[in-house]
Amino acid sequence: MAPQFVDFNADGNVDIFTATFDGSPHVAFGSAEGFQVPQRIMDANGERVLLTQFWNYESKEWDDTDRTIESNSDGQLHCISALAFDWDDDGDFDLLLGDKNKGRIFRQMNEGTNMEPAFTGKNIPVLTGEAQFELKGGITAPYLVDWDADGRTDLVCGSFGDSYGDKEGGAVYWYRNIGKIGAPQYAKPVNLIEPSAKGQATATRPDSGLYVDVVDYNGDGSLDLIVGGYSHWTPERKALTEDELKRVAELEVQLADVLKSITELRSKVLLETQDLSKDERSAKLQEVYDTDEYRQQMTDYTKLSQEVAKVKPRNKREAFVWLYLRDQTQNRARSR
Amino acid sequence: MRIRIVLCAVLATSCSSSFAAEDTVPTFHAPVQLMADDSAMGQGVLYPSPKMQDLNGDGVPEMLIGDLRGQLLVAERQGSGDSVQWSRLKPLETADGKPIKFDNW
Repeated sequence: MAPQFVDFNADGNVDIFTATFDGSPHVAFGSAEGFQVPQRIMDANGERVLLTQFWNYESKEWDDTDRTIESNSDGQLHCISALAFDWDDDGDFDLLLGDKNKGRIFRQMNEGTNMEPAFTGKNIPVLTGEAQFELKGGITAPYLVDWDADGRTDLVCGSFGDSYGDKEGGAVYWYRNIGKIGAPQYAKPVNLIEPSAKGQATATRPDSGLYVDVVDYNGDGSLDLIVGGYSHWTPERKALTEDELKRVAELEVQLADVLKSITELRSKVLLETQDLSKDERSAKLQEVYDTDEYRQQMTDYTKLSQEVAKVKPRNKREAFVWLYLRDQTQNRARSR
Repeated sequence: MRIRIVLCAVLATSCSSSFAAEDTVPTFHAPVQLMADDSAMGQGVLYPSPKMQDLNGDGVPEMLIGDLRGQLLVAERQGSGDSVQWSRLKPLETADGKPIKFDNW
């Protein structure tokens, strides 16, 4: 969830505008007293703003709709990021909606005002050149900024990349606005942070799920990047002694036993509750998770896993926030 | 702590770029991990999404971290220039003193 701080309803207070993984944008209005409880953004018809895929709070299931995009050939499009942006320069905020699955961006126009918005409910694809916007690796969130100081608002976007495996990780891209104010057009992306090749022995950078903020962090007059994301690394493994190898083998047998017990317990409950409703089943599972027996098993599992990891380090994946300060001494040639 | 809100331009932190390149793209120094008090900033947060924003109108931006669950954490800046440090992250609160939480699945 990437927050945008913006006076969304033009009342003089900064609001927090964002989309969440439920597929829709939300806003927490600011006031003299502080932020209000967040609320969902609705369109002019009183329906949720979304792309196609969304979490249905009534059925408590993932759902899909074709009501917002004409001739959609992309399948499921999942909005997880949103920006308020006056696309057509008519004095009110339109919406930019970012899709996680294909890396698309759509715009939804506001036919009302900021104080009384009327979002159309229809999403229009944003383009890069003649093609639909498509960020390789899936968009985490776009960010609005006049990166090249030409008076037009560009987009800087982070990508997910391969979030768990060894394949190419995420990156940060600049999409230059080569259109006009009120009629943006975006050029092909330029890499600001190269896609991660991963494979390091320590955490050296954000490797997947890159969320970016653009600020002049050190006050030197140039824009820097603050990037949240997951670092992936594999600590170097030393050769184990015979005693260590023996200990690891013992621990792995114990670990397998605990895992077997946990699996059996879960399977038993799932079998016993197969005829219950979804809610009843969830409640029954929660009861089991709260038992001393289950908690003890999980404690044993964690303890044994940690002990194995001390001797035999495994792949690491942890979230951090990183600062990329601009290097004023070097510039790379930009491919056109 | 109740955070007072003041009007800020949405791109206030982004308007001071001196970069006006037609033929070059910028390069960056090797990234450094930011710390929040004595912890690595963002560690343990699901998909941390940072944003700097002056929420209390003192001219010093705070660091806000959004997460996958729909929560927002905030750290206050201490120091300036090359010696910037950040306080421990804590939940951003609504006007009634509860941690702010955006609906999620």
